[in-house]
Amino acid sequence: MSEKKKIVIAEDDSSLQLLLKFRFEEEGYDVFTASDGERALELIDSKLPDLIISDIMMPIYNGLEVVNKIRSRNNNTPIIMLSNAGQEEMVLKAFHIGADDFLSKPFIINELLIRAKRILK
Amino acid sequence: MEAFLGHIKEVLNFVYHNFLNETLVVQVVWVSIVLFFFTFIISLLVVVYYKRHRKKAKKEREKILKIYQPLIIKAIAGGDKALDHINVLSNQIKKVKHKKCHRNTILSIIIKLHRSLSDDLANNLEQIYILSELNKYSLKKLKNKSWNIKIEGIRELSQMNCIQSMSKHIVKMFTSKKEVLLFELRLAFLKNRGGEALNFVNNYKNDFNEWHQIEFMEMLFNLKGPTFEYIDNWLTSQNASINLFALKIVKSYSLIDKKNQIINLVKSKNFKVRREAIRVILKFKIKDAYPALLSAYEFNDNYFEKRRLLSALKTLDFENFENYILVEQQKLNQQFRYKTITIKS
Repeated sequence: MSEKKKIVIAEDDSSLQLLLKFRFEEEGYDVFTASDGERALELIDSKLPDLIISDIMMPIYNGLEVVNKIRSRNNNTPIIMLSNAGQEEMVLKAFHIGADDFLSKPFIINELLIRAKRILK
Repeated sequence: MEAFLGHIKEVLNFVYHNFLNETLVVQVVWVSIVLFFFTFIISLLVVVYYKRHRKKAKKEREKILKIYQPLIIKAIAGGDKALDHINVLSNQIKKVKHKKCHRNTILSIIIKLHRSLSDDLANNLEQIYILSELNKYSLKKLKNKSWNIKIEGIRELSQMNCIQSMSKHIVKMFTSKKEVLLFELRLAFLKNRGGEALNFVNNYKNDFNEWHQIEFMEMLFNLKGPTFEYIDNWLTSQNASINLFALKIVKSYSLIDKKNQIINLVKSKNFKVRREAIRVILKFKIKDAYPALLSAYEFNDNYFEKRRLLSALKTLDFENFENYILVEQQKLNQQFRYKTITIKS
């Protein structure tokens, strides 16, 4: 039996975090959640996920700082960023420092699932 | 017990008689001390009560959140069974919606999720909002005397795409003198009707401040392909804040065909407009702006603005005007040296 793929979700809105966890678990992934950048980095170090989904605006470390810290540790785990409308410049910066994909809020949850599946293939 | 009470009575009598025998100044000091002491005790009690109340409210909110968050999520992401879940949950919410803490917590879950989601899940959230009659409470807020509560109501209804239900109150609210309230209404209209709702900008005479501009831009980004029918008027408006807003739109939506109006803004009386116009010219590398920038450079006395203009000229066309730019740069450097020498001396 193949092992479940692991995903770390960093999102400070607890409702959205729970929804993403619920949907990804339904699809058969192992999901770990964090409400701030610091906790997300701890989870990434301890769980060694196959995919990271991170919001841009988060307490302690924001999404860009998280991406920067992950890449500076030579960790190449794919990262999908979630941004708000009007954060295009932040998204460009995120791509520049090593994010792999992004979705702008409000987003269609199935689109996020499809993108995650495509990256994890 | 009687002996104790008698003792206290004796002490009070002693204090009272001594107090009467004191001078007026000492009496005033004593009264002030006693008043201060009582005020301090009362304030302390109020703070303690308020803290405990807040802690209790927070605990209750967390409890409600734990119950309703998973229920709402299961209902909206329930797939084929979503409709049944929504109906059951809406009835459940109806029963508790009269409790303020329940209502506010559930509303905050629904609205925050709605901001992040689109498509079916967002529609499902809207259904819960209407079926559980939470929209009636948002409508009630519009009748409130406080403008901040009205704004809360407008935001909730606009977020949940229920702006049509506001129609009864809109005319009255548009007569308000509270500019913040009017802006919130305009934002709600922008979300609902798209670029058409920006028509108010045509005749706007007040300051369209930076914060409102950002809010409008954010709302515009959420719209699909907004059109700006009157942008020419905004770029030529006498209101500098409207020029700035128009330049933001030009920059974000790459409206390069408006280059003549942008070039004209280099001559604006407002420093911020001139600065922003130069930024837009540089972003789109509008070479036609060269004569306007050159003339602005020659007629300007401000050292820092001259520097900015020269740097723009250099970026736009250094090859053809190399000599002129180098000579002027040297002049400016010398001017700067004189300035620093004057300041130091």
